[in-house]
Amino acid sequence: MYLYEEQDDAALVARCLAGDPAAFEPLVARYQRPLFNVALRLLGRYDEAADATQNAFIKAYSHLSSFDPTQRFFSWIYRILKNECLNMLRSARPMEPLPAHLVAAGGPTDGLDDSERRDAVRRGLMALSVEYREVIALRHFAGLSYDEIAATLGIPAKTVKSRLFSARQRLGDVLSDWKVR
Amino acid sequence: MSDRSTDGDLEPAEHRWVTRLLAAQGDVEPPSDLTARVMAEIGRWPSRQTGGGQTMARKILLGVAAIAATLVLTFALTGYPPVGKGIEGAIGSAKRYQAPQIANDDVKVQDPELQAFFQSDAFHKLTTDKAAREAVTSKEFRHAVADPAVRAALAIPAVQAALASQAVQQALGSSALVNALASQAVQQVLAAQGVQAALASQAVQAALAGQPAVQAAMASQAFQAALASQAFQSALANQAFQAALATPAFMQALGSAAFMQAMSSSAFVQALSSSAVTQALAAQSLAQ
Repeated sequence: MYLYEEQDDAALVARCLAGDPAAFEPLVARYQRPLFNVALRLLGRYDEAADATQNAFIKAYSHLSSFDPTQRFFSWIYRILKNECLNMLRSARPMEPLPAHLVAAGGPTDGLDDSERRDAVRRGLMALSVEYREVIALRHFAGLSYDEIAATLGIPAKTVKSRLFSARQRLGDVLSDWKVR
Repeated sequence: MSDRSTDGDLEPAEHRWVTRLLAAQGDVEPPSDLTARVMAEIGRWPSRQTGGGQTMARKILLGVAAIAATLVLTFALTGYPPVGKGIEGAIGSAKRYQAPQIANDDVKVQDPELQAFFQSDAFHKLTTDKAAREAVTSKEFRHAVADPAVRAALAIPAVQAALASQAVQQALGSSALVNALASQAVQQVLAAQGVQAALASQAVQAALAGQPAVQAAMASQAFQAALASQAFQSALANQAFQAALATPAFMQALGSAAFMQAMSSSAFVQALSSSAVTQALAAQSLAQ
């Protein structure tokens, strides 16, 4: 979903490498949302997700010359983001709920139950391994296809599907209380 | 029971409620100033910082040029072939010790391009640059010089002349060009006659040195693929094409995303070898 402008990405990278830093801005604008949302699901905290996303872009820019234009820019920067997130998780603080105004806008009837549900899902995700969390995040929060996830993670699409199956299964086990609500 | 999603995955029915819960989480807006913060941070840097890969690419390039300089200097002073294996031992040492000092007249570097190269900043840099010296011992360098195409290219007067060119030396400062030249695809076509002719062309050298857009274009995958094609190499050998390359209109076209996209078409690359197309590309009106 976010990976359809590969040639354009490569051209922007080439412009950056040629000394035009402004060419990096469209790349940030294009990928900040999916990257931030993936970081948020990996880290579970808004501020840390924002920091991780910002750091990933800055590190990507500083190592732009190592980007292989035959690869997808999203796949490359995602690996940088994942490393950022893993570093943050190593020094993780205890979880706290997301501020209500920062979670996705719900309908007018959304109330405490929805807020609790969202928090439960977030905690459920954080209870999964990073491996499971990332396939769920890439699929459900970055909107990537199975092939795109496979390319991003460097694993076969078949593995993506089986990993996603297991991840949903485990998440379902954790969230079983919410199944009938 | 399964639900087939748009890209063919079978989502078991018992997982649908999990998927619905995940969907209800929705997308969360990143901080509204995230882009501004990233760009501000980048803007604070005095110039684009280069990563390890680029440094290594530059080292490889300098290393390759260092070997070229060494070979050229050796051949110019001692002739070819160099002293054969087996006579470089004690006798050779004694001979060197007894030999008279080289007089100015003994050093005959008749090729003005080589003279220019020896007197150039690039040559001086190669002999004094620590990175270049380190590059010679690197794995990447050994890999590069093991490539017959690179070795063949280094022996070509046109390539040596290009290295001697002030314009190309200036262009070597461009990270995009360094990246392009460090790519295997570009190295492999260095030996092609069309590319040699283009490198020897002052117009092309000037284009490489003065145009960031051209340098950026060279770093693109589409350009490198085109460069590997026979049709584009033929175009490069064409004097009209070389002359056109030096025109502002052509360079503007070359640096455009549309041109790069067109370069991925083999038909377009084929057409570039046509003088009519070359002239059209060079026309001022095309760039407007």
